[in-house]
Amino acid sequence: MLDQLIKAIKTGDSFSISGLAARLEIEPEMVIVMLEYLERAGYIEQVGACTHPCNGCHFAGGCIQSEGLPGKVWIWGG
Amino acid sequence: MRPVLVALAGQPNMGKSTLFNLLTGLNQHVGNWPGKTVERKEGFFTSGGTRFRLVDLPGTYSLTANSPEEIIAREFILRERPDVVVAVVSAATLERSLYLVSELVSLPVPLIVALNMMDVADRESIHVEAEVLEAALGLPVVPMTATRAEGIRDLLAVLDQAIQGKQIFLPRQPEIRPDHHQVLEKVVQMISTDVPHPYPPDWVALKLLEGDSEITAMMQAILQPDRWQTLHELLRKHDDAMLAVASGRYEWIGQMVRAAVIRPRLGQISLTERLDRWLAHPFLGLVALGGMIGLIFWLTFNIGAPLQDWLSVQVIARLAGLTGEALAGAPTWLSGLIVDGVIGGVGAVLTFLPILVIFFAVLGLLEDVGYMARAAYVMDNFMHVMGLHGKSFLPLFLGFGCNVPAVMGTRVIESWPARLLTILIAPLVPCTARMAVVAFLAPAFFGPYAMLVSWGLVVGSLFILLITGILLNHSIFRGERSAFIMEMPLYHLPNWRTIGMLIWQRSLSFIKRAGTTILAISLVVWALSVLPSGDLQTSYLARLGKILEPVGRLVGLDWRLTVALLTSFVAKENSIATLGVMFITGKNVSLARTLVSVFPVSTALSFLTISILFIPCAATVAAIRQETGSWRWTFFNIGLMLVISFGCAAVVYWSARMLGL
Repeated sequence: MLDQLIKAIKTGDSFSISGLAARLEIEPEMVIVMLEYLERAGYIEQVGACTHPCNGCHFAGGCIQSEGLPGKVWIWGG
Repeated sequence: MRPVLVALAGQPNMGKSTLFNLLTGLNQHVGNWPGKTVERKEGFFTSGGTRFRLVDLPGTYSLTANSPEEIIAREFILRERPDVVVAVVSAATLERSLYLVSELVSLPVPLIVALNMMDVADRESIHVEAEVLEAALGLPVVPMTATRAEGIRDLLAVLDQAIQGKQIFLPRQPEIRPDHHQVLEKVVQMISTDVPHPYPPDWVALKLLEGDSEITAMMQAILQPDRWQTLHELLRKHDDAMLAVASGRYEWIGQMVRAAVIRPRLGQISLTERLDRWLAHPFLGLVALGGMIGLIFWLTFNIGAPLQDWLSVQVIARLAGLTGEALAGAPTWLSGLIVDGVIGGVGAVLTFLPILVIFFAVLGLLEDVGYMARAAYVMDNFMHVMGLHGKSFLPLFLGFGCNVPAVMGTRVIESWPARLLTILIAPLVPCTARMAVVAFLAPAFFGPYAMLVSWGLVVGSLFILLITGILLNHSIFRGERSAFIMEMPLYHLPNWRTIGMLIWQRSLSFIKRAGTTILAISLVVWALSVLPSGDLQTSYLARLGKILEPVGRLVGLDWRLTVALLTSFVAKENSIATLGVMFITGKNVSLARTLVSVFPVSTALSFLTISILFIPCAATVAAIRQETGSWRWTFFNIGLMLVISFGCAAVVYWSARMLGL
């Protein structure tokens, strides 16, 4: 299961959690848990577009990150 | 008589502390683990005449030596050998909770699983069959809700049976991935006679394969150098064994969850899946995204543009006329300052508001229903096809709102070449202000074709971004490739209050800018347009414009449009404010209509093209300087944008001229 996940993300493509879940025929929750493991093990990295929170950011009014983007985005290999 | 020692183990946020407090009440002691700054909680309670000593182990995700908490937890279990370990797991997130259990079952202690947070699971319609889980695990499982003290008696009853030896513990163990069975056996053989008490050799072998630093150091110190060397070589040869061990554990977790957890197929999920077949499809998703951009412009032109025109004619032009009449007796400079400088400049920009409100409303709606994550996803897919770095995408996506957070957002990219590339191409993303300038001018010049022209400008600038990205990517950091995994929200009905707040905040931010930066620049432009003689044609502004005019002429811009373009450096909307200062006459004619009567379509196309691709605004340039730490790269970016914008505008202008536009 974990190997199949790694094999898929090693291709360097873009994935959604539900897409990966469908591909591996498992629940999305299981995919998230395995991604969290790979993150803890240092294989992938969770990123956001900003390194600082929106609160207090001078440009928050013109930014489309606040609501539109997903809560978690992982990158394989950096 | 020694009290029965019970250890509470669990991942963080599983309700372990709640259970500890519930069992021990005030009879507890809080201190630190010896030699560590990690909190140690210990307490006593009595049940069925038996006195228990309860130790709350630190919350850990696993038992590998990744943190002091994990080392404390496993060393306590191995060295103190509690009579029973209670693993607290959450019924609502069993997939996550069971990883620690998959490690605990490998240790030589009786294990009871406290299936906590049953209420949360119920609320989320997740049904966990405790008896099935018990059979699958081979361990006692007690469903409970610690926050309501539900299931506590059952837990105490199971504890009582366990200490009386009436409870059967036959845990089903996870296995290492089959291709590593032999390696594991070999490692066990190599170390079994040397592993010190109290460590089980099988467990130590697994930890060595996982690359556990503490256990590796321990075995290195114990084994003879030649035997350690042989073992070390074997471990080095199988440095992927960590994933083989984890893979086996996740297979085990998958089996447990499949056996015991029933998740409802929510209508919302199937709707999301159905919609995503189209909206998140690598190709159809891009078509849908193109359609969405078209829809934004269609709504803008059909609702926003008429309102903007009305505001321009009925409010701004009329206000300019009335103010001019009211100030008839005042000094000419004062009348000019108010009518041309303030009303002409800021007023022209404020007529943007209906257009921007439509933008903000549609973008807010798309954000709120969950579409924007799909837009990011399909765009990233496309960028991968073009060879761009996956991590570059998120900052670039922010650029649609404002280029400044886009440039600042590149901080997530560690690779300097990749970060630099992203910074350099970020200003090519058309921000809201640039799109508003397009939305202001396009309907007046292109009538029914305005949507097509605007759509073409946005898609065209994205195409240029991609081409520039590919060229720089191949020359600077040669197509580094990394996967991009997104957790996308479910589609849901919009919350109109949220959207309303978003429109309000963004509109307010725009009005503030109009009242500060744009007002200041309008006044400067007005002063330059009347000094020294009061005649625009001989003004300082005209002199500056005429110096630059030969460059502007290459792309069909006269000195007035060239100056307007130049002032957009301060803020993109300033180009309209400057045109307002120069063209608003106070004769109840809107600025857009005046411009149509003065400039041909070819010039309008050229001006829009150059406006959408022109050098970034001052705030973005400052952000580029700050993030690159280099004036050289800042000027390179300005030069790059100048070349691209003038090059594209020239192609558009001369093509339009050839077509007789």
